[in-house]
Amino acid sequence: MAAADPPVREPAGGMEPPELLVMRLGVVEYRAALALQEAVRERRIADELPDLLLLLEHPPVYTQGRRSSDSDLPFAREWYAEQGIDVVPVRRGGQLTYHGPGQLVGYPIMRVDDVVAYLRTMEQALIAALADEGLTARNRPEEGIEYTGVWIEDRKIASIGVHVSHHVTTHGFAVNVDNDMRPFEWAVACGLHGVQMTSLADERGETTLTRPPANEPLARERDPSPALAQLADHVVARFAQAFGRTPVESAVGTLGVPLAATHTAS
Amino acid sequence: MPAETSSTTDVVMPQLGVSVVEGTVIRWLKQPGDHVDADEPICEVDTDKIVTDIPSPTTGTLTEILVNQGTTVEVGTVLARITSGSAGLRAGPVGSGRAHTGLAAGARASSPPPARSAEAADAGASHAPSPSMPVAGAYHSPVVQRLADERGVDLTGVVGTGRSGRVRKQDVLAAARASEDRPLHTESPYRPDGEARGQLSRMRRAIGAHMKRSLDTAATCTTWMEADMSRVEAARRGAKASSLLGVTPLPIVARAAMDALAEHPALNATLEGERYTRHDAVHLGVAVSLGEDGLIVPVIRDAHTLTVEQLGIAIRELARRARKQQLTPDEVTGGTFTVTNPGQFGSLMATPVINQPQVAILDLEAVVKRAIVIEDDDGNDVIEIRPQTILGLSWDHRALDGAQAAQFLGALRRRLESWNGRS
Repeated sequence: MAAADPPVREPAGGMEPPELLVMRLGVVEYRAALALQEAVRERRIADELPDLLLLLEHPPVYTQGRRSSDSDLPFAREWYAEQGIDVVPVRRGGQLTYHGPGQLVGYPIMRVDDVVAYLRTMEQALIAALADEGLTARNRPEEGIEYTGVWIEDRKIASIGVHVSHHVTTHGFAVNVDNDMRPFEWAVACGLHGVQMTSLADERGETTLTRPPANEPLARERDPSPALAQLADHVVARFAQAFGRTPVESAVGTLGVPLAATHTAS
Repeated sequence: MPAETSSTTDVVMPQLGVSVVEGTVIRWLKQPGDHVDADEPICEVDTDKIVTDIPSPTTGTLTEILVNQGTTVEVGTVLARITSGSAGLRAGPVGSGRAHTGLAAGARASSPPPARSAEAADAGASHAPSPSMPVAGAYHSPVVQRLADERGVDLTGVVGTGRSGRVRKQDVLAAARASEDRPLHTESPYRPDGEARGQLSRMRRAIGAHMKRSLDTAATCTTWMEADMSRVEAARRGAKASSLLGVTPLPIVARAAMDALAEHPALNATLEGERYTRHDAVHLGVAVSLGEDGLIVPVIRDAHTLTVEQLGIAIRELARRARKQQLTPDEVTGGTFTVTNPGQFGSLMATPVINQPQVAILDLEAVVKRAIVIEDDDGNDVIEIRPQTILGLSWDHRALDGAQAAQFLGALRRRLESWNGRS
């Protein structure tokens, strides 16, 4: 997919590439981030806001899409709770996924006409950002929608899932940077692995430095990761480039949308 | 299109990506009788990675919903019908026929047919590409002409998706691909009524991947041996009162297998790549069926130290917790040997798949009464009725040879046939 064909509707007129508001939100509870996305989407649909890219991390959480079943989490719920992992059902497609600190989550809230082209452009942007980190990644558009995402050989490093309403997107991508990868294994039955997940740290062989010991529950608090901040910079640049935009960093306060409500959506 | 006529417009399941063949209606946002404006979302559909709403292709009244919430249907299926009362209400994109507006609706749901690009999207609503009949003698751009020549595509048979039905590069590529991909036979579209369809569950896919990987990795062989279970059955009958043993001979067979493994430790091992590791302790995996959900293999730690009764309790407890999704990851990993018991369902011979990276899996089959020939105390051949079973062992020829497998099964049989409370 050529980056020169942005599938995004451009506002009429103007010589400058249209802007893309970029907001780095730090660690945000999944439910709060969901409420924020929905509020921003309403304002985007009403054209009160330009296209945005929200970048954030989530505390450990499994989100269950419409196609996930209970057997996707084969162990006792209390056990997951002991590991500090929340379980949230979400109105989106796809299967169960995991988010946690050290994983770069991006929620583009953009007006799009061609959602498949949008997915492919997003994949290309992530591939370019990973190339900036020295990693050779690829997407697999020919192999089917279930291969959506970004892969290093046959290992998945970034997951993608989107929701489009009134031509405006929510949800987006999640790139494993130096997050604890064990929860991916706990989410697939029998200790079997359908798809092997990987992360930047895994690919660089840095895993032992960044992962908590196996017998410790996941730390909800952890230091911000420099690796994640660096990847975020690359993602912003490549994402804007792929979609033909000028990135404009902004604070969430400028949205006029509160980020405080933790349990708005349930 | 005569503007006065009231017309019905189909809303169809759009194509969301090259290989997407179906989508699920997850929510109706409008109900029959509701007025809908052109481009107003009327329902949400879900493919694996995309949830999108389907905008109404026209202004009118939603007259019919044809696909229920939660139902998965193929691309192109009519989801609903919208009736436009008069010309004044019509504000939708072009399209004079039902199929055309329907397809345009799909396209407007940000979901072009595979090969569409921004070029078509740029055309906007008033030029939403309605696939039209092939146009004989139509003008083709040099690019299209050359591509068609290269790929051996007859342009007169190609449906154009460009403006005014113009054949575009993508259409030629799609036509070329279609002719390559055409299967030798086409599966009948008819399906028995009520057949459940849909994607495999994540667990099923995980099990499938695991099993395929085992078969692709190991040099799997299976050895069979018959055993007389008279003593074991007698012990079970005697133990019923105390109810320490389950309803199957599995705990006794597991106990006997522990001792047979002590005799033949080469089978209590793992092989990872070229690294073969024998284990002193037996961590016994026990395959537990979860019914339609699948299968899980919880592991009994240090099973070699447990008595028959303890093994029986451990197996029952793990199975119960597995079915209630109460296991922890530690309880399903680290096995060194696995036993599976299809015999509990009456099976006579199943070929088990080795639980990687282990090197062998024991298979316990049904115990059935058979007329067999034995030698009586006086050395005469006599026909007796005996409870017999077949013991199966799948083993990895990379790690072992058939002699070891047969010797292990022989040791196991000897212990079962002479069972007297312990092997």
